[in-house]
Amino acid sequence: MSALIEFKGFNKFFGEQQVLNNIDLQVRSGEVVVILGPSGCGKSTLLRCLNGLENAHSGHLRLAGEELLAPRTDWRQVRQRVGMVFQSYHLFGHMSVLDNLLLGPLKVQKRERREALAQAEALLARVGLLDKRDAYPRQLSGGQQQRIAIVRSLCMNPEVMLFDEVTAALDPEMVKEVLEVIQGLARDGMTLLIVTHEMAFARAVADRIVFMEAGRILEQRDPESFFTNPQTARAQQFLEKFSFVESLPKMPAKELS
Amino acid sequence: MASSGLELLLVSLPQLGKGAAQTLAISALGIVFSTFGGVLYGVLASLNLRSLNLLLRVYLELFRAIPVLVWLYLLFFGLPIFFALSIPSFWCAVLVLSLWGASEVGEVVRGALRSLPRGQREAGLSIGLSAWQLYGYVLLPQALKRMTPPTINIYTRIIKTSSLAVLIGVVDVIKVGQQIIERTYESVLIYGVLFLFFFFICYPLSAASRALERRWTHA
Repeated sequence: MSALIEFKGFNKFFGEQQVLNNIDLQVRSGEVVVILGPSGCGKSTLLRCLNGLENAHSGHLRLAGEELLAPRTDWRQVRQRVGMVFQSYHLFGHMSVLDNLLLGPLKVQKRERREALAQAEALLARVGLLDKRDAYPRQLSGGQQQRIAIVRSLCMNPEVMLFDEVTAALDPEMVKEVLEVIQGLARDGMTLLIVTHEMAFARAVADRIVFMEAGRILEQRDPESFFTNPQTARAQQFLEKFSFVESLPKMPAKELS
Repeated sequence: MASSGLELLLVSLPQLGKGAAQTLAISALGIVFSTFGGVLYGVLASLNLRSLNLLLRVYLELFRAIPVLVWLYLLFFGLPIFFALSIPSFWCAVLVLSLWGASEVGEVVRGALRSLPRGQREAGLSIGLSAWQLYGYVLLPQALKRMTPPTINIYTRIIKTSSLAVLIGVVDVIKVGQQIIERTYESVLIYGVLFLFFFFICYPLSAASRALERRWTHA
C-alpha cells in the first residue's frame, strides 16, 4: 500500500540555517508515528510544514499522492484534511467552546448547523467535556482547553492529526487526560504524527519511532527495539538523559541540626 | 446687558445650529471614513509585507509630520492648480480629516492586532479559514477590545480638528460664531457657547473611552 504522507529529499531553511535536511519519511494510513529528538532538532517544523504553516524550500511532500509543494496547492483544502494541535492550545478566547468547535465546520466547510452541532457534542462527550459546551476558554484548565483544541481539529473530519508537544505546557495531572484522548484516536485507527517528550507515552502509542537530530532523521524503527536497543550513539545518549531522573540514586539521609 | 445677551443667544442659536450641523457632518463623515480606512490600514500593516509596509509607513509619516492645516491648504488650493481638480471645501475637509484619522486609527488597529498571540493566527489557519475569515472571525473581534478606547480618543481629536475647516471657507459652527461676533462684539458669550458645544460632544466620548478601558482591563 502506498503512503498517505510522504516526505522525500525534503529541505527547509530559516535564513542561512538548514532546519530540515534531506528528510525521507513515509506514513501509511492508520499509522501512529512519534517523532522524538532534542529541542531544536526540527521535529515541530516538520509538522508545521505538513500543515502549510511553514514553507518548504525543496524536495517533495505528498499527501495521498498529491504533491503539496506545487505552487497551486490549496492549503485551505489540505488543512481540512490535516488537523493540527498546538502546545499552547490557542483556542479562540472570545468564543464559547461550541463556537470554537463550529467555526471551521460552518464557515470553512459550510456544513449544516444541526449535523455539525451533533458531531461537536458527540466529540465533547467523548472527551468528557460536554458540560463545558457554553464555557469560555479562560474558564477552563489547561488540560480541558487542550482536549477542546483536539476536538476542534477533529470536527473538521481530518484524515491525519498532528500533535505538536501538546502536553508540554500542562501540569502532570492534566497530561494524562490529554494523552488518553490521543490514545483513543490511535486505537480508532486514525493516522497520527506526534511530537512529544513523554517517552512512556511514545512507547505505548507508537507504531514507529522517528528519531531526529539537527534537522535529520537518524533512526526510525518500531518502539520496542528503539527503546531497548537504539542503533545510533546519539539516540542512546538521548534516552539516557530521559532515564537519568528515574535511576537517580537515593541520597543518604542527612543529619539536620 | 443680561437680557440683551439672552436675546442675542436666542437669535444666534438657530444660526449656530446650522454651523454646528456642518461641524457634526464633517466630523461624523471623518470618523466613519477614518474607521474604515484605519481598519484597512491596520490589517494591511499586520500582513507584514515588506513593500506594502514601506508604503504605509510613508503615508503615516506624511500625516504625522505635516500639520492637518497644511494638508487642507495643499489639497484645497493645490488640487485645482496641479490636477485641475477642485473639490468643495466641505469635502476637502472630510477628505483630509479622513486621511489623517485613518493613519491614526490605523496605527492603533495595527498595534492591537500585533498584541494578539501569534498562535491565534496559526490556529485559525490550521482549521482552513481564509484570510478574510481569519480577520473577520478571529483576529479583529479580539483586537476590538484593545483598540476601542484609543480609537474613541482619536474621534474626539477629529471633532476638534474639524474646526480648521474654517480656514478653507467651510461655514462651520466656529465661522458662524465669528460672524455673529463681528456683528455684535459679544465674543465672550459666543465663544462660551462654542466652548460648551465642543465640551458636551467630546467629554462623553472621552468618558466612555475611559470607562471601557477600566472595564476591559479588569475583565
